[in-house]
Amino acid sequence: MTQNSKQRFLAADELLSFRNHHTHRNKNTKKARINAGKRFLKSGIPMSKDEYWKFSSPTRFTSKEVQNQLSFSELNQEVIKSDDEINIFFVDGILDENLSDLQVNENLEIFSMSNKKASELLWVQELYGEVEAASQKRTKRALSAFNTACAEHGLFVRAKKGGKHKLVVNYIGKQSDSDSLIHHLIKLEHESDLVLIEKGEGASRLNRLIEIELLPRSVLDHIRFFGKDLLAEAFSQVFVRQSSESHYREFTLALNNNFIRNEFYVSLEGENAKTSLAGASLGNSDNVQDDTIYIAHLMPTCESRQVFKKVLRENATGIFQGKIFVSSEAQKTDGYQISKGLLIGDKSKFLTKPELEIYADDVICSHGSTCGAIDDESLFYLTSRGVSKNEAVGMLILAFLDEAVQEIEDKEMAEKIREILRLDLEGGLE
Amino acid sequence: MLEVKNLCVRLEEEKKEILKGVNLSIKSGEVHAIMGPNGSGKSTMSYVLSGKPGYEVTAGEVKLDGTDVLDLEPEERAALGLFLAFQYPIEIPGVGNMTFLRTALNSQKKLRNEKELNAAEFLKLVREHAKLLNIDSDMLKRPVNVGFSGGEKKRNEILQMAMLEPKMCILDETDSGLDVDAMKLVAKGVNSLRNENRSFLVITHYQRLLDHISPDIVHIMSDGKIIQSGGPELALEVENNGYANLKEIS
Repeated sequence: MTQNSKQRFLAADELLSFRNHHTHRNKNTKKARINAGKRFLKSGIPMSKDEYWKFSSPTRFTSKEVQNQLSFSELNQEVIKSDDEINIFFVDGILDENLSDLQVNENLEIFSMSNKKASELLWVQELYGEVEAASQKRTKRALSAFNTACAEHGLFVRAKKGGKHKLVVNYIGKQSDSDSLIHHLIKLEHESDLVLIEKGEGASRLNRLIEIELLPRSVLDHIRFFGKDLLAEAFSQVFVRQSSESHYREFTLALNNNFIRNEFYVSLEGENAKTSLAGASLGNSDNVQDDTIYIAHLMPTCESRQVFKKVLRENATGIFQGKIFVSSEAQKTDGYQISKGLLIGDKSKFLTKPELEIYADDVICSHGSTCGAIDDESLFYLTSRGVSKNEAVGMLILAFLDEAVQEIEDKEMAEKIREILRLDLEGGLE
Repeated sequence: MLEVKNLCVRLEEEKKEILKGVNLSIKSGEVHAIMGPNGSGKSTMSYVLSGKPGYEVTAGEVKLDGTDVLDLEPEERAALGLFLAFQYPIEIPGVGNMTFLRTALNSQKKLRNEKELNAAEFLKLVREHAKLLNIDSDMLKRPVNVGFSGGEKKRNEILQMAMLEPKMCILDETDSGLDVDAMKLVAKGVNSLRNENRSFLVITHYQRLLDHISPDIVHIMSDGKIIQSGGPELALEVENNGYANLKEIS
């Protein structure tokens, strides 16, 4: 064992003991936590030399204490509640039960991880850590196992058929040393629908994991807005397990966020399941925006789409690692992946690694990745109409990102996202 | 209105000379046509006049109403009243046609220190102009030129021209890719904008557009120079005999 490897395991052991991982009051996750702890110890902490962390360093997430302490006092973390939404609030990674609408009705139940009743939910026991653990067979995800083992807060949400609810989860940051370790479970029963919206980062450092189980013919629309100009170091992971004819539609917006590692693992385990992941991001200064995706097609006739667009200014780095895995059983798979970087200035970077691993012989799979600058012809067209160069560049950025925004099924929501982008670009680019 | 004197232009990258001393004088209210074979420099001329980057002016001057425009940015030239209807209008997904038009119009007004139009004033104006060009509200709402047919794109160019009310309009092969009906519609739009204060420079390969937009003066361009100028009959001569027989008349 090399010195480096030893260090990896020692550090994992220390980190786990520091977090005291299996003492959470939620008893029915205890077994899963202990197993996750073992997985974490077996992998050791991830290191920059790992292929999986090839482009963005994981060390910021493996230190015991938060290194990058932020001041939240000057941030405008505006909270808007709307009557047709169910609002949940996490402050510094801790669920605020007074502010939140933790309701239970005939087709929706929302529990806090810390709620005593949540300890008795059988479905929680069956799901917690399950999809994350299954994903480890394909790629080692030490920090995901760490999250499952040590998560302190989270929501357990279950939707049943009837009534399409809109659940808005807001993350707000206040303390400079806030270190958020959140683990949510979202389960959609047969033929149920849910809209899940997440807003903000809400801590100086976050390791946030969501496990999602979609039973047959259920539909989850998932919109995430990491916030604007936030300086957190964010590690976000979404694990999805889909049954037949279920549909998962996800969109992520990130505007000038300091560091985001955004991981997806989607496992298509029933016929005719569909999944669509899309992301639009703007980066400036030294921002790092990393989307790392694994879609496993395990059953026939499923569809998956990945559409990611990144605008990179100043010294920003955009990263896209996307893999489509097709097992030998998954005939008639339709997999599509596109990632595009728009580089503004000569110091920004777009690093990309698209991958296909296909064992079935009757599939349609495509991947593409491009990187370029603002198109001079388009810029001239706009300026020749009297639009200033600055504003014209803003328009072309909007146009570039729109391919991802168009992936949003809900047209009203897509328009809201466009409005956020427009406002962000309105002030010009300097 | 527009005075072009001894304009010499080469491509910045290739150092290839394209315009070799163009002279052109267009008075207020006049319609001039430039015809010429492929590669004669017609489109380059339109790009240089409107300020497209990538060209180096090695000699000559261009004045619009007495103002030297060659050192101005494209948006400044637009605000002075110069408009180029593109041969291939650009698609801009994600930016609504109306948003784009209003931004362009108000940007120009801002540069000219004029009062900007509010949403209601703008809407009224755009509807009036759109009606004449058979542009329905759906086309106005769609992203700029996205999914537009060739004819729709050209009509959209004319709509922009109508809204921006330029003094000097350059139409770069506006007839290319249009069927007869679409061309008539575009010509109708252009003709409705003709007045004594507005001038046009119509660039085309064919005489057929000039059947519908009748020019006061026709110029023939060849190898980076205007080699002949005359009345509308010159266009007919080209139509009948081609460019090969035309010689430079100095």
